[in-house]
Amino acid sequence: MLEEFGYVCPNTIEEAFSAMSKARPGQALLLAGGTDLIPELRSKEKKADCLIDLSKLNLNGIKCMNDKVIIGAVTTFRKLARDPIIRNELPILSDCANQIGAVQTRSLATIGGNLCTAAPSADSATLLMCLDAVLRLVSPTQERLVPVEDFFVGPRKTVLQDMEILTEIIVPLVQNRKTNFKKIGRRKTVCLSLINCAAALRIDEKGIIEEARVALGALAPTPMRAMEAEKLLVGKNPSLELFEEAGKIAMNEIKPTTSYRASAEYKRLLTEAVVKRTLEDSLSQFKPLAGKG
Amino acid sequence: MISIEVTVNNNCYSLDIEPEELLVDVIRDRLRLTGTKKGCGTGECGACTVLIDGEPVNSCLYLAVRAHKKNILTIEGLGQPDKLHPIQQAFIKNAAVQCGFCAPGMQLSAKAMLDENPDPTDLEIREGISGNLCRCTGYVKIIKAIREAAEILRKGESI
Repeated sequence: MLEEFGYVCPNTIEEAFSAMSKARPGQALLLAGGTDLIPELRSKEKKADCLIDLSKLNLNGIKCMNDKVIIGAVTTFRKLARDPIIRNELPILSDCANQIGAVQTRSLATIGGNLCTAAPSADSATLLMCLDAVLRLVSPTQERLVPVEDFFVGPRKTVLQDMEILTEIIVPLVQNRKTNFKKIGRRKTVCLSLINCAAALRIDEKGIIEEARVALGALAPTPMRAMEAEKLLVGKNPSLELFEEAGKIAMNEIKPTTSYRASAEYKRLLTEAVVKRTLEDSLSQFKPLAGKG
Repeated sequence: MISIEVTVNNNCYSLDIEPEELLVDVIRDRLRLTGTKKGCGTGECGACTVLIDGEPVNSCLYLAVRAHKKNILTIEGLGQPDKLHPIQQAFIKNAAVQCGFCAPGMQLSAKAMLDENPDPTDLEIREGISGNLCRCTGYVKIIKAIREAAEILRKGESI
């Protein structure tokens, strides 16, 4: 059983802010899917005077305009995986969504919640970093746009301020961008990433890598970009040897910890291999998963 | 206390709910529908799976107050003891039930998957039940049962 708390389900964002302002600082928690929050309340990791349910704020739409895909923060991974705009314009995000949690958790868990829980292993964070996604944070007095890579400041800590709500994830659509995402865990579903890796390469007409992104999760206090590996790749011809070298460099950029899941040494070796494979696979023809998630 | 109206297995209920009540507890303790099981409490085992507006959900992670105006299907709504659903018939016929604890959640996940994809490949069946743990059967017979149920449902054979 959970401890007592109040509950409101506002119909507008103004009502949400009003509820937030009535609570003591940090005591009104935002409820999106609840797949992280409910277990945290159950284990008493978190306490709340009041939960503010975001489900009626219409923050679960997906649209495409001006070469950007705009995803509502309260969109479930189930919806994300199946959405025609995502499958057409950002199929890698559909693929990533299908690997998070399990069928049942994906009916509830939201992309915004995944980002705001801010686990170092957050799967959508790694991919969104590679896609140069930007987050819209809204408060009663201002709106600001924060790149995903600037959103995380520590394990389970973000730049979100007390009265701010993440409303949208904005992903620019880029020509000739090849992406891949890999999640490594002890099981294929229902598991936290041991490590995850996303890569995005933009190749020019001559076949040279114009731009590179390599992002890694669960290997540092926050999801991170492997900037040195990225620098290595730019201006070069894609090749197995190049990707192997990128893997070696990325291996030295991470700050893995030894946990009951795996040793830091193992995670380094894993990183070297997974970075190489993610880069390799980003070049191959990508098809969304047959299943719908 | 918050008043909600919820439909469970085609029956409408008006309930007064405390915000901290979980759907799994309301289903089991208030509505006395104990087919839905509690396994882990953290959304990792699938024993508490119910369908909410056709989507499979871990009811242990779902605040009951959010069920207002929703349509919920529990295992009791899938079939009756004297008139089992093809999925239930296939599970029995194929020895896909041992201790039975995972079965309600497993069968509802199967139903959600078959409702959307009536002709699944084996891989799709596995993906459809990938959120449900079974400690007894090793899954092989569960997959066989679902494959058989899918065929029966496709042929439109009456329950």
